[in-house]
Amino acid sequence: MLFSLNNVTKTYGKITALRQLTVKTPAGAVGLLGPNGAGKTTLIRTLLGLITIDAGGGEVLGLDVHKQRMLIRQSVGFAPEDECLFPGLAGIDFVAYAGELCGMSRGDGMQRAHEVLNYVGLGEARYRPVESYSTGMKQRLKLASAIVHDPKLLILDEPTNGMDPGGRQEILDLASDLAHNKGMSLLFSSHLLPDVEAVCDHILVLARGRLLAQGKISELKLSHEQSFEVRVKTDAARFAGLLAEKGCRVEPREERLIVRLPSGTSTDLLWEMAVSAGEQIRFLRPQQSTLEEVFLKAVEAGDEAFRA
Amino acid sequence: MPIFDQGYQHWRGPLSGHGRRWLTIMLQGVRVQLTRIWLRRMLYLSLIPALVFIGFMSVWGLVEQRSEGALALIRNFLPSSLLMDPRAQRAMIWTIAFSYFFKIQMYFIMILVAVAGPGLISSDLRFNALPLYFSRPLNRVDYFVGKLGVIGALVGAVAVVPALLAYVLGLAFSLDFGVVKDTWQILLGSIGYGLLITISAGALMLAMSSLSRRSLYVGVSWAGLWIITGWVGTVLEITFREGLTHNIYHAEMSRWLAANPAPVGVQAPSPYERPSRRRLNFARVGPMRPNEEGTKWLENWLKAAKEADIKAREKESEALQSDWRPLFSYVSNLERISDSLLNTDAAWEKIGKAFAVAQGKTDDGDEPTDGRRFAEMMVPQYPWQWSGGVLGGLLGLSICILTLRVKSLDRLK
Repeated sequence: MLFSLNNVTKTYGKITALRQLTVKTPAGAVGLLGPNGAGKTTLIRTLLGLITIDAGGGEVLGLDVHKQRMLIRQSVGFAPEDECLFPGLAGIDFVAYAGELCGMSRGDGMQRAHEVLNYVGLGEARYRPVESYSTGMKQRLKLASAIVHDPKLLILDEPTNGMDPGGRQEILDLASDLAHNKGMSLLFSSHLLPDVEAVCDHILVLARGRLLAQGKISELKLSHEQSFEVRVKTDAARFAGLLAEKGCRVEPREERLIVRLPSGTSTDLLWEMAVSAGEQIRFLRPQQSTLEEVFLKAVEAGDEAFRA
Repeated sequence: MPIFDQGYQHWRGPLSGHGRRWLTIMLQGVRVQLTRIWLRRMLYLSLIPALVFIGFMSVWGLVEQRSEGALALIRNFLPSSLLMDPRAQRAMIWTIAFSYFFKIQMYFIMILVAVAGPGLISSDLRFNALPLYFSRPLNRVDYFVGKLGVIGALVGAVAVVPALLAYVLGLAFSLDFGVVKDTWQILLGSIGYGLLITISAGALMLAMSSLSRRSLYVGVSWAGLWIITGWVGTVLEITFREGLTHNIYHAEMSRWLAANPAPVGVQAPSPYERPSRRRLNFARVGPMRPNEEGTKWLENWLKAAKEADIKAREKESEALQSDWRPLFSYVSNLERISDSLLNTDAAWEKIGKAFAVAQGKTDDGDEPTDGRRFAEMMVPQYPWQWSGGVLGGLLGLSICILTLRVKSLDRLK
């Protein structure tokens, strides 16, 4: 178990940031999704023991969030969303200092800082003052300072903010490598669904302080009965027209067709139409929801429940 | 690029306990401060008085050994009565030397705090470093104590370490372990004073630093606190003392002149006028030389003026016991506590008496008539608890400000 929260409530004045939140999350790469104001940041701060919750309790890596806050923070690495710097330091000193603040000696911190800076791809720039870094370099620096003490759980809050596509992909690759190949659990909070889908296996969807959905991405992206994704070799538009004459509902999506077969029919209809049209079917599978659809459906259901 | 890219490697080295986090923050802060050239220059400059002080303590040790060279040097500054048995004067001389040293080093301390202090928290606020700190296994107390430790390191380097070194050298040059019995209070007082400056000035500077994200404004505010409160306290004190003695003298002399009008041939002085030797000599030998009656009147006037002066000083001494005006000065409050810790009042009184005897200022019983004068000039006479209250109040205010400004992430955006 990565972390578990039991009936956690946190309010800021009139605003309820977390509302009787109960969640159990397995170890691995977990994505944290939710619209603005959903309670993602409050959840992260609760896990780190940084805030005093109004009710409830929980554990992170088997450590109590009330009584063992310092041990939690020693086992967790956190890269915050905002731009945060220790002023007046070069990159290497920055990361070494981050390690020392977790309890490493100065020598260990410096050695480890070099290792993690090599890993995140900050080369000679490590000897420059951090104030001179670009946005991408600062994100890498934050990641390095979060993993310098080799935490068991790494929490990344919007790690690809402000990054160019190349840099973004590198950060995602690093996060995925840490979570899948290096045995580090990951909590990845982001608005960018493709990022979460690229890195995580399990997601939590929050809105208005409540848990709306959780589970493995592969399980949440349900198959639709009677809906198939089809790709043909030559003329997709003509094939779509022929299917529509047979009562199918066809929606083009990029280079594929989403075909909803009439009830009582099966994929045999598709093969028969392909033969009669002289087309080759190059790809056929049952249609799955995208993560975006899962997210929007969960949020919509949450809004309805709230209104009710 | 590394020659051999090992990828991510796990690390299972030891992690120190939570109790040392403040030390990490303090050492990092000191390292960052020492990269600043003006701070290093101030530190080097502060060595000069420290070297002079250490030199003096060594010389006094030689005086206690009856070294002729040392005695000849010191004889220019102290009455010979004090040099007949230097070991008996050791506590007094050490007290005054330590007190003077701390007064001089206070200037360097204030400047160093002004240079190093403003950025301690304001830079962290400006660069949003607090989430980086508090997401690690440390709490606000560790953070504050670590930052305070940076101030403590500077105070230690400028004042406490040289004082301890001077103490050890004075002990070594005296070749007498009885020094410790006579002066242990000075040693403890010095360490205690260093701690007091660190906590008071450090907390105040941290509080001011937490109020702004721009270090420049904080530095200017600190300079204002130090210099302007110093001026205000000094001006108020001088105005009060001078006004008091002036008014008493005037009242006494007015009464005397009313009862003893000047005879014919002697120009009547104003009640404000103080007799001067020049006026008296002119009156005796000038062309308008008074007669015998006039000369006797002038001598009585001189005597009355001296008595009025003594009375004015007595009233001044009484009033100084409750003179609150020096409390306006932040540095004066620190120095008042230092005087109490080192017991400088007694030392100045003793040396004042020795000087009075050396200058012949004794009464019929050969007791010095002006024994308290040095002490009253050099040491504030109001109760030290008042300064303790002022400093305690400032400390409480600093803690409140720090608690509100450096919030935990519960209340950060």
